[in-house]
Amino acid sequence: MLIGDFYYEIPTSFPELNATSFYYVAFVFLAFCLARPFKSILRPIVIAIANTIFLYSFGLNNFVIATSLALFSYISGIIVKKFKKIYVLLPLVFIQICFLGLSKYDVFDNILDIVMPLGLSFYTFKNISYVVDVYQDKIDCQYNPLLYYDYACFFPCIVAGPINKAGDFFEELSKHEGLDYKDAKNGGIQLLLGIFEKVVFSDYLAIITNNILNNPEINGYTTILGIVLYSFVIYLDFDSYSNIAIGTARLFGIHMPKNFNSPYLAHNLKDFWSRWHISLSTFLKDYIYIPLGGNKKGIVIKYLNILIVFIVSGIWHGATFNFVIWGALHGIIRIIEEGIEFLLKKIPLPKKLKNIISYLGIPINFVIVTLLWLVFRCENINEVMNIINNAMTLSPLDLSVLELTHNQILWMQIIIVVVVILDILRNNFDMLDVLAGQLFIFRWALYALLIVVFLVMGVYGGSYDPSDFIYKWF
Amino acid sequence: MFKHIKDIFKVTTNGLYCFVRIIVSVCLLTAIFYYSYSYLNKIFYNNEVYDGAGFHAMPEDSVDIIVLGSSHAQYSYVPAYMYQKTGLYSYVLGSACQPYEVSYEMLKEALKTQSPELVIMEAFTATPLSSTCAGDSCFVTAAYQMRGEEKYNVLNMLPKEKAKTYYNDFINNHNKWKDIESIEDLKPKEKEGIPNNFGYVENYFQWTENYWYPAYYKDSSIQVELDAIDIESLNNIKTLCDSRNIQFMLYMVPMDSISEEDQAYRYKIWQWANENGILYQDYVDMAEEIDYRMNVHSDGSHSYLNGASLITNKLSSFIKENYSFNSHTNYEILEKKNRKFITDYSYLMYSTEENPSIYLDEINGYKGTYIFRYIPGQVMTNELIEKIKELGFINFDPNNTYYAIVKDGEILSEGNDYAQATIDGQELFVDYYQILQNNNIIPYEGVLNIVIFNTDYSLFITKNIQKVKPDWWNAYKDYWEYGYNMYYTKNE
Repeated sequence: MLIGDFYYEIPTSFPELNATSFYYVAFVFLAFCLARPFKSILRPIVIAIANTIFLYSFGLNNFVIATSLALFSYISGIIVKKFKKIYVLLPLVFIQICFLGLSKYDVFDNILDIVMPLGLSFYTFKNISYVVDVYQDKIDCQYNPLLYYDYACFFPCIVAGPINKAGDFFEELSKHEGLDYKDAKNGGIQLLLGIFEKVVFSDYLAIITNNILNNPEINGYTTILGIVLYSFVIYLDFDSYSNIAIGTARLFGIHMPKNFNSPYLAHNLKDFWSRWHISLSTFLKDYIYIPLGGNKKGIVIKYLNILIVFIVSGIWHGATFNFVIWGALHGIIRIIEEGIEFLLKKIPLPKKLKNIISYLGIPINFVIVTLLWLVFRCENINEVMNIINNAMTLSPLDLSVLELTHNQILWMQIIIVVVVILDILRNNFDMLDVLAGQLFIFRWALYALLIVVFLVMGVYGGSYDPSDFIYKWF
Repeated sequence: MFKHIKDIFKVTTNGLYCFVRIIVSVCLLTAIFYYSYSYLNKIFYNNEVYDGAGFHAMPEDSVDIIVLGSSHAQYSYVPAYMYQKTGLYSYVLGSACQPYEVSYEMLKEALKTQSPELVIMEAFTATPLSSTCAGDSCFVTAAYQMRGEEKYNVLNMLPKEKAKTYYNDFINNHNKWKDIESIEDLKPKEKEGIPNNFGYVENYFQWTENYWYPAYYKDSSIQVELDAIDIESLNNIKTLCDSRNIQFMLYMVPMDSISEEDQAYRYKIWQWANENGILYQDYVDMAEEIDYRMNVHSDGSHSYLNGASLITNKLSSFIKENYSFNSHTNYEILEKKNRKFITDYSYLMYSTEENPSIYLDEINGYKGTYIFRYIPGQVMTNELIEKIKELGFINFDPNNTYYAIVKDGEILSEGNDYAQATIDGQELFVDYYQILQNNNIIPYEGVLNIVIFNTDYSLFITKNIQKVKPDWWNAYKDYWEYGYNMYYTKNE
């Protein structure tokens, strides 16, 4: 199909609804048009249909598995509501965790040739949180299978979160309010900005990062640059997906919690985990840390619980041993921080000095997190050590080995500066509200500029090999 | 029930207003996206588009002959020479290794704006020789010259995933932002004008010591069948031509090293042509008849301009004998371009005359500008000295250096130390060490050099005449090695 200068090949099979694809945007817009203009009675039905189509686009097995687990969880909710016993709850939760574990370790792939379903880790946690919340009477049991399906398989967040709470979701879904223009508009903008962030910022930096870290000949400050860039890549990648998910959900009148809150401005690891992947941190706190006793059973148990939580987080992220190490290291450093915080409280320091120490914590924390991301990125510890050894040569920065043009280096620098500035602003303001408050002409000029930048600088097309979302396969 | 349905679909006024606002915003965003894309498409384009893309700038219904085929068509058919001989306007729609099925699509697109009397297709790509150039480029290069639906028909001849990467020029080339160095690079590409050579690609005669006629098998006992796609494409082209009352013929360009298998395919094409009442000119067979020599008229694969002139002239005679049609209405711009080509690339500049004395006779009548440079250092025959003096160089002394600048037979500057003249805004200079045009060095070799300029000084050819010691097996000959250093440059 030729539209002016643009040729579009009509697909012969149903296309995958990748979050950064034209198909996804068109799909969301179509679903929005069906769900929102009318009284919200139609909304759950449209969401259910959209969930089905979305899952099916990634393959029948994804649809079958997600729906089956949703059904299992739905029935589990009814059972635990009726039989409020821990020995009823635990097996139902355990079954879901087993399924998750077996999938992560490719058991089903090896035996039944079923590849691990997309986003399994995320919606498994959602299902578990629902069952536990019903058991604890935090929420009512959902007897409407359609509404439960809407929650469990809610398509904006099924692939990579956020892990939203069932209670909030059902409450919003049951509201029959009309379309709120500002809310929908901000949702749409957030969705499009998320795509921009992924395709323009994250994927571009990923190319440079991979070129550096995958090349054993590169060393010194160039390697250090690659390590730092990876921090940006993983943040932008995940943040962009969260923005797409949250923005999409907002279009349907569902308000998901913020998943990132300028994490690299954290003063310490505790602060970092309250800003990074907030929904996962919340889940781990509510369903593992607190049930284990939290900080209520003495300092030793508290530290042990912290370690357990981070190890579980590591295992959740990946099936290999380096993820366990990654989680454990976070836990250990977290414990050390607790100790340091305890000591600092004992020492009377002037407030100014405390503030300086607090702000010094930002770059220190960034370095710690960045180094730990290496463990996250590499397939094994040997690879991590090789990269660190390369970096320790401290040979001068030499970008010529990357064969980048002047424009490419400049663009990399611009992205880093823009991301840092935006993060500082986002830490203090709701940027969508700030944008909404600007003059019409300014806003639309900005949109036009972003569109041009997206078209020119975006990582897509035959000359690039764009990457998948990093968290997609967790 | 009806009330329930109405209740479901009831839209509040505010809700409808909000929805309309959102739709308007989406439409506005889409429009910005679309027009940004269209504008950027003119900046980020594929640089490797051949001159053939200028076909779209031709006046509608102006072309009399369309030539299709591979690079052999592009190098062997000179529209200006066809015009000179017949008054007919031609255009060469070819690309490297262009398969028959692509030629069909190209013709389909061309016939949307043109009504030629004759379609000539060069038949190379049906032979196994063309397997040396297989790959995406066979389709992609052609597609980049095309527009519209046929362009995508050609791209879709590639495997699907590969085809997708070529669909949209901007998407494929937008990463060129990394190479942009100035604001000039951001200016949209100018609309293509009519290319000067109407799709012909120039190739120049190089230095040669000897020549031969193309070697090929006269008879082949190998049984082959033409590829089904080739037959289908030939039939499609014929059907398309028949439906539009267009004549269709085939030709084959001489090339070297034709194997027995290639020969068998050539005969199969000939056989198809005979069976379908299509005329076919095989210049492999006719190479000796037209005196088409390898190394003189061809680099072994592609024709030089002098070789192309032989083929085009032969084709023009064939067309006059076998077809009867008149040119479309005179188009001043096409006339001018054809005449300019003839003037620029006159046979004089590309003469294959190996005898320097005869060549100097040709120089004698040249209307344009040339530079003459002579350094004593080789044996000069009396005949050659006389010919040089007949150019008007009465002060020429074979024992002394001699330099001259001549225009239209008139010596503008001569001397034994240097010659210098400003002609038509061009500053020309020659001495012992150098030959300059506007302070740009003109390369040369040896001690007797003639630099010939075309009418607007955008091109020059340097002829170097050297006498060399013959090899022992032809030592009985006393001959000149008449080497051509073909230097081709365009003024910026």
